[in-house]
Amino acid sequence: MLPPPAICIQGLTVEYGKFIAVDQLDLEIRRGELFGLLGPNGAGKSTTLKVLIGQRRPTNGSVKILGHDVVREWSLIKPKFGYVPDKENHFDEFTGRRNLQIFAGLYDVPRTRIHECLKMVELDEAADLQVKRYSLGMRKKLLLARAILHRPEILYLDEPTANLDVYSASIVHRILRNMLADGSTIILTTHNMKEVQEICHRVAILCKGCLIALDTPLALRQQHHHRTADLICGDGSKLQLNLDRETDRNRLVELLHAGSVASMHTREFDFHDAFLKLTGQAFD
Amino acid sequence: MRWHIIRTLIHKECLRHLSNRGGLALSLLLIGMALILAAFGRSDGATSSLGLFRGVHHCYVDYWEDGPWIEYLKNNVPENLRTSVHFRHMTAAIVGKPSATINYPTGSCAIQLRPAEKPSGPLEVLFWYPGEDRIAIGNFENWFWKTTRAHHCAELNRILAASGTRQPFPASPTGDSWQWQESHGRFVADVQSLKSTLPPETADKLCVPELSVECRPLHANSSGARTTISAALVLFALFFVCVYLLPSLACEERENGVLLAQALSPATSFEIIAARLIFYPTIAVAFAAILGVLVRPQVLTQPFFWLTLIVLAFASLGIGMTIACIARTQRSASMTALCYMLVVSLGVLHCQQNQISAIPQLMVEFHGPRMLNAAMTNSVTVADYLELLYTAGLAIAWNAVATVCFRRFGWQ
Repeated sequence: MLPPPAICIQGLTVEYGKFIAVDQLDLEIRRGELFGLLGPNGAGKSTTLKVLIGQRRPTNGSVKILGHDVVREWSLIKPKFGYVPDKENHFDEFTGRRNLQIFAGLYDVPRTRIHECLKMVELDEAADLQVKRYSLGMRKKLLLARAILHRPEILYLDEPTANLDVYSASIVHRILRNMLADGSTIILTTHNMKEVQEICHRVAILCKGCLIALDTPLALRQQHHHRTADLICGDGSKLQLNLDRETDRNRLVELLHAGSVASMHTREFDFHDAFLKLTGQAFD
Repeated sequence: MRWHIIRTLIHKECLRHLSNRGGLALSLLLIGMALILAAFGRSDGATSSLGLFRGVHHCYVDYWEDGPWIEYLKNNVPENLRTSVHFRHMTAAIVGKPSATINYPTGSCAIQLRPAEKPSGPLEVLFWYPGEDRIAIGNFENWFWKTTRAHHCAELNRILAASGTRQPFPASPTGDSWQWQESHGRFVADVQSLKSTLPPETADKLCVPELSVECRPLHANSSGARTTISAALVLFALFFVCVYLLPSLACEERENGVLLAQALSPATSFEIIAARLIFYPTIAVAFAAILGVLVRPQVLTQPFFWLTLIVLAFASLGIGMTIACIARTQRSASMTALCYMLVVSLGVLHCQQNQISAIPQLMVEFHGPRMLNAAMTNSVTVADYLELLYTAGLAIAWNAVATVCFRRFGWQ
């Protein structure tokens, strides 16, 4: 028997006046899963996240988090999740450590955990600097440290690696993997397709408030694969060959035998292209 | 309510205020003003009030010759004038300076006791007062004449007693109206002597009644400028903490998203508000009390003073919370607080000048200074307690408005 889902969304509809931001969304997110929520601007990702963090009441439908109703049993859900917003929100006049101390007090977390979290995001050396002196990346990492302070069962991340350098992004990914290993469930929204392919177990793609795709990144790859080879010949001419067509495959073999291929690049699947194909919109 | 959450939120508020340099600077400024007020003008009453605004706050008694009269004057300066009256022997100062001019500082007056120009001539007593403010010197003049008369009465009685005469000379003058009483008595005596020279039918028509004159201070107006200013400082401290700082910092937290971060933590809205409800009135009362006590230490033992502070802090809290709910940004919160202060103070002033009594009754800022004045001058009456009760009602009303606004707008 499968364990109950961490998050169960059934027929979720959220309306802003006459505008329908989320339309009849059904979604189940399993425990211990890293789930990616994708979509162009205005797709309904942020609204869905707002419902999940209790900042917006559903117009219709039900949302259960860890078996508790998000409206009626909000107080039971609150201590169990962490949230990394897209816009940083720290007490700028305090140090990084002081910021975490305040939230550690609210979550009733021991002081030793503060140092642990600071070390995890590699901010232990800058812990006693005022946050207003932090770089954008440091602020983002401090947000993550704050969100994981109380070892949440569910972690929501809104573009966690935006403005982070490659190394800092890898730190974030490492932390997320560790949390998954500890049994946490992670939901992230991102526009970084490479990140989605690398770390997400499953992905939901929203467009205009509706769910248009839900699967693993690999399955989406297979469903929307696109086998093409881009060649640059010795004389400088460029060729694009469709590997699903026999004539193109034979032509490729001929060119390779003749030794006239200077460069070849295959692109079996591009998540970005798949996303654009699915949403039918420019990716932002 | 969970104590660890309340404690953390209160601690957070403390830290935020300690890192707010502007707020600290203004608080220190207020304390500095209170200290200045406490240091200059220990005595209250007419002299200090005159000194702070216009008229005189120092009276120089310049004399050219020492003697028992001067000694008597020196030894009989009343408590309320002690810091204002300064005796100076002038001979030493102007010896060798034939064209010496005596300069008196602004805001001071002088009583000069010059020797007689001719050997048998009278002593010259000159009163110098600033500008055209003849009344400003009245307090000192009254003291001078009363004490001078008392000295001469004492001298005469001593001589009479030494010569064996048992009948004492009329007693030393008492009260502030002795001059008018004597003047009127003299006039009545003159009329009596005139009547004795006139035919009875005419004399009977001349009738001047005997008068009994007494001067009493008006209870409500007995406070000086020092008390008025210290009451204003106390009231401003309450306003500053609850009406200015509270909405300003709450809106700042909302604007940069930290309020949301707190709301997403296990802290409930009730706990977040409760921490503020505990922190701000406590700080406001403590700060206001420090200012009040610095100026008038005796208010520390006045229950009415503390009750007034609590009620006013509670009312200010309601006003502050209402602004915090209505204003969207930190800037609009501080602007609304300042506009509120301006509108209310001008409103009270305008109503008082135009004899409109109903509108100021609805303003906490109208009752606050009155109650604080009563507490600081130690002249609390039943009416003041009734006013306190009424103000408590206004405080409840303001907090009800804040609750409605919070339910309606939340913290935006």
